[in-house]
Amino acid sequence: MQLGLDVRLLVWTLITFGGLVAILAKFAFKPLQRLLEEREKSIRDSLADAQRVRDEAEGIRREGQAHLQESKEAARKLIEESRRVVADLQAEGRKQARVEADATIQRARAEIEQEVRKSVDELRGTVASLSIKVARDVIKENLDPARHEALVDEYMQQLKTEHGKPTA
Amino acid sequence: MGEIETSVIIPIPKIAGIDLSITNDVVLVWMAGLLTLLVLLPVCRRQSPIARGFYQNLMEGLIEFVEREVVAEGLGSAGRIWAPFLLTMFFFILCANLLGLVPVPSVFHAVTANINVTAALALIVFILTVSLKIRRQGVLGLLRGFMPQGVPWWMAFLVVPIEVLSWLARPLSLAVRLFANMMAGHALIFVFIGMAMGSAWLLKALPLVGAIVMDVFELFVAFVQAFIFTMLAGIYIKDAIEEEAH
Repeated sequence: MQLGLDVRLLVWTLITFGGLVAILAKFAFKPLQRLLEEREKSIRDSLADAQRVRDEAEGIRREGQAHLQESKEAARKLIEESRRVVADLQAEGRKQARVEADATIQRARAEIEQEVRKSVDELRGTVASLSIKVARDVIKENLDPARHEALVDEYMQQLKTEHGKPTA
Repeated sequence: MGEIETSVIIPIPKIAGIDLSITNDVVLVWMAGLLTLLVLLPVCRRQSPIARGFYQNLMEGLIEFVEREVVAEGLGSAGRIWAPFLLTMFFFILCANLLGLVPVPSVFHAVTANINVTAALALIVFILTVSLKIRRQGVLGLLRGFMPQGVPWWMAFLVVPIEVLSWLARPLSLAVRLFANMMAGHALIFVFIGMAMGSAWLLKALPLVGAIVMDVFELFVAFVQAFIFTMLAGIYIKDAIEEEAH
């Protein structure tokens, strides 16, 4: 009978189960527990490693970003410096050119003035000698008005031929 | 109803007035124990920390399920030392239940469909919880627990018997629940098989289908009942441990 009291079965069940708990606790669940703890530790370590690698990668990325930023800043400064140097050089060049141009102009003016003065002196000498010559010729011959006029034109023509156009 | 009568296989003289003869049911209990060992030892004693293969994964899944649902959630970290006991209980009941599904009814039946087996298991849980309480609170503390705080003293004659009854009902309900469920399934399968055997050959198929369906259902019941018994045992241990803390 399934419902009747069977002390034999009751006692043997108690003994069997007690023995089973003792055997399994020692030889099965303890190693399994250790194994599961190892696995848990391994997973935890792997996760920690992954996190560490991720942090390192993030650090490297940030460092790279910082380097890039620094490089950009350096390049920007370099470009600005170059522009400033170029502008300075241009300004210096312009100033230098202006000074040289002024000097050239001054020199040219001085030369022109000298040339003019020289020409005027030469002209004055020529006019004087011509005047002397004209006076000598006038004195030598008595001329009618037409002859007088032709003589003046001839000397003027001669003057032009000898000295070219007068300097302005 | 096709019940297998208990028969003595190896007679043993009484020890201290107790008959310890080996019966066919005792052999089935041993077989259930042996099956539990065969099922668990290879799984638990492997060296690689990585689970390989269907069987390994299945068994580890079962072990972790019971550990999580009963031990971790029910008992918490303080109750981890009870994990081997509760896991053994789950797998032993499961194996005993599954033996009833072996299609050799003249030899095998669910030994948990015998009240003596379930009573022995419930008795273990009961003795364990009582000894836990006595170890922590003493006998007086245990008895004081039958009189809840705040109840007037003159109500004791009513409250104490109710508390004692509800306390004793725990192992009784544990034993009867498992026994009744396994007995009912077992009986129903026998009814279907009996109907199939007694019917005309044209009508044999219907009860046979019923028996097969019931077998599949019994497989599910075997797991569920093993889990319920273990879970309740965990709850009773938790009660004892929690009262320890008070």
